[in-house]
Amino acid sequence: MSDRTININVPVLARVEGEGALDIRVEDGRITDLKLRIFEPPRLFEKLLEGRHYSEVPDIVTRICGICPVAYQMSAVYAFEALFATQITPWIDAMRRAYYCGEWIESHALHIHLLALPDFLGYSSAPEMAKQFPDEVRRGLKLQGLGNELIKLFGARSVNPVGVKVGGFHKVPNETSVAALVERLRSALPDAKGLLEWVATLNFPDRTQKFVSVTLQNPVEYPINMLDTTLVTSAGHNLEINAFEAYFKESQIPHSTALHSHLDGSPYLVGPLARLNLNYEQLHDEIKASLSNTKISFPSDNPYHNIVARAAEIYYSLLEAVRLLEDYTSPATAAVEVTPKAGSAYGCSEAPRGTLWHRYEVNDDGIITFARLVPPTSQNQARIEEDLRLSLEALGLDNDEVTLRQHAEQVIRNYDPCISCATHFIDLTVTRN
Amino acid sequence: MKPDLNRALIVGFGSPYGDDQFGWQVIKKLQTALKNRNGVRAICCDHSGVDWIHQYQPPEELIFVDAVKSGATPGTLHRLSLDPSEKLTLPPATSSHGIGLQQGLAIAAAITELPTKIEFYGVELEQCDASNTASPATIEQVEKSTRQILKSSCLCYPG
Repeated sequence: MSDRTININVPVLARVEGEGALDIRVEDGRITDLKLRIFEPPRLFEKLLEGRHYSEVPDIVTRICGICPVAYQMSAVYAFEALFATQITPWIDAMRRAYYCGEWIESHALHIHLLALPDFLGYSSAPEMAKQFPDEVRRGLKLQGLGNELIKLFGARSVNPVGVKVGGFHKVPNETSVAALVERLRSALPDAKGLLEWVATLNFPDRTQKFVSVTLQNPVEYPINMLDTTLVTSAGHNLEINAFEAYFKESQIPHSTALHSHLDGSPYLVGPLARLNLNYEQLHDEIKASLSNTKISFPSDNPYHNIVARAAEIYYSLLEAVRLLEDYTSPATAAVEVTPKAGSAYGCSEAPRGTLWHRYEVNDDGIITFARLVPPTSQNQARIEEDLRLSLEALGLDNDEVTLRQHAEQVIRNYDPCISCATHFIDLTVTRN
Repeated sequence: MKPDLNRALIVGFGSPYGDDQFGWQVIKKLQTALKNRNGVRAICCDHSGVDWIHQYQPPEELIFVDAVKSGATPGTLHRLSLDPSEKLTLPPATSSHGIGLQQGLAIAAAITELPTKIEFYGVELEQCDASNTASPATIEQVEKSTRQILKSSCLCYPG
């Protein structure tokens, strides 16, 4: 065992939702300090929402993220509809599910092809990898484009879409547009199948770790939106959405402006791998058939299998979108009447990166007096730090700094596109004593 | 010339907000002006990075239209010719996940055949607030840029 001291300081993890850095100190062959630092100033969206009418919230929270705006809209509208006892129609719930599928497709395709795959295939960047894997990248971009088209169908645009309102949608898509898109989605099913089966053959490090998976669960379908769901964990919890705060505790830590979240005092995982671990049986048979031909089985305790879970969810989303839209007929109305009332509104949905929980306090006039948004990125922070420590020790701390840094970056990228994108831009400073 | 030949793809990046709508406004005008031109497509994109790549079909000419911020006087039109065989030196990406036009072009060059010349039209924006109103200088450049693009070499052929 080396007695050297290594400081790995990654000063800037630039990303869409936050800016961060990574500091690791190795002394006498063990990690003595490890911090995933998120240092971007708070964006204060929760404060911005105070004083706003509930009807404005979907168009405000859509601006929180350019990659997963649908998730923020969905957690919000289901929260208000639950509080107001709004009975949305089955059509609205189904179309919101299709809309959300678009976000899963575009977000997962972006992450797999442009952020995560270069790590697995040994390239420093997506363009370098694309030279050797043009067909695979072309396929990935096609899938991402289809996801964006699906979001546009209901949201008018793919970035910060605006089609959703409390009670339904602002506008009904016309049948011709839907039919044309369904054909394109259907024709891409072999692409999604091929992607899943290809990704499952990647060379995954053998990194089994003990962690708790957390996800929404629905008795009849793979979890996306909130209706008829509970929050479940691999530790045995089965919680109502409004019980979240009693079990999941957020805390401020000195090295991050994003809150760390713990369940029963321990880190936990949200996101595709957690969802697949606890909802495998809800997948379509076609996906189970593809996965059964691989060496990977779920539930999996290897964080590297997150990329396989993402590919499986792309396939799922395509199949689901086709199912939901293939017999589409325009309804008479795109939304139902909403009558606000005062109280606490709890909402939750499965964003591409994991469970996204909202709470709003609303007064008699429908004005927001308090808002709390708990995004998956902050929920995974403590788990990422835990994984970094375990993975680097499993890799071997005697490795050179470049190897340690690259491995650390890959571990981070496995979790979350927000952090992953950042780690493409880092500079590294190594200080030896 | 075959009527179904892929001749040009014109991509406008932007949003409905403030001067950022420049790219989309130019595309709207081009779509009207080009509706009878075979083989020429004008499309709006939300993401500047890679969203256009799967819609590109070689050997189309490529023209990009976007709002930019370089420190020049608001309303200034920047017209650049990009040679994809040379290392591109566009400003660092500020798009989602850091994947901007430069990264997108590099990926496109790796997976498909790009034309020998790529045109970029950018107007210096003055404001990008949440309103749907563009500044007068940007509105003026929508008209001028549309006319310039219609006169560009790749579109100068019998319709």
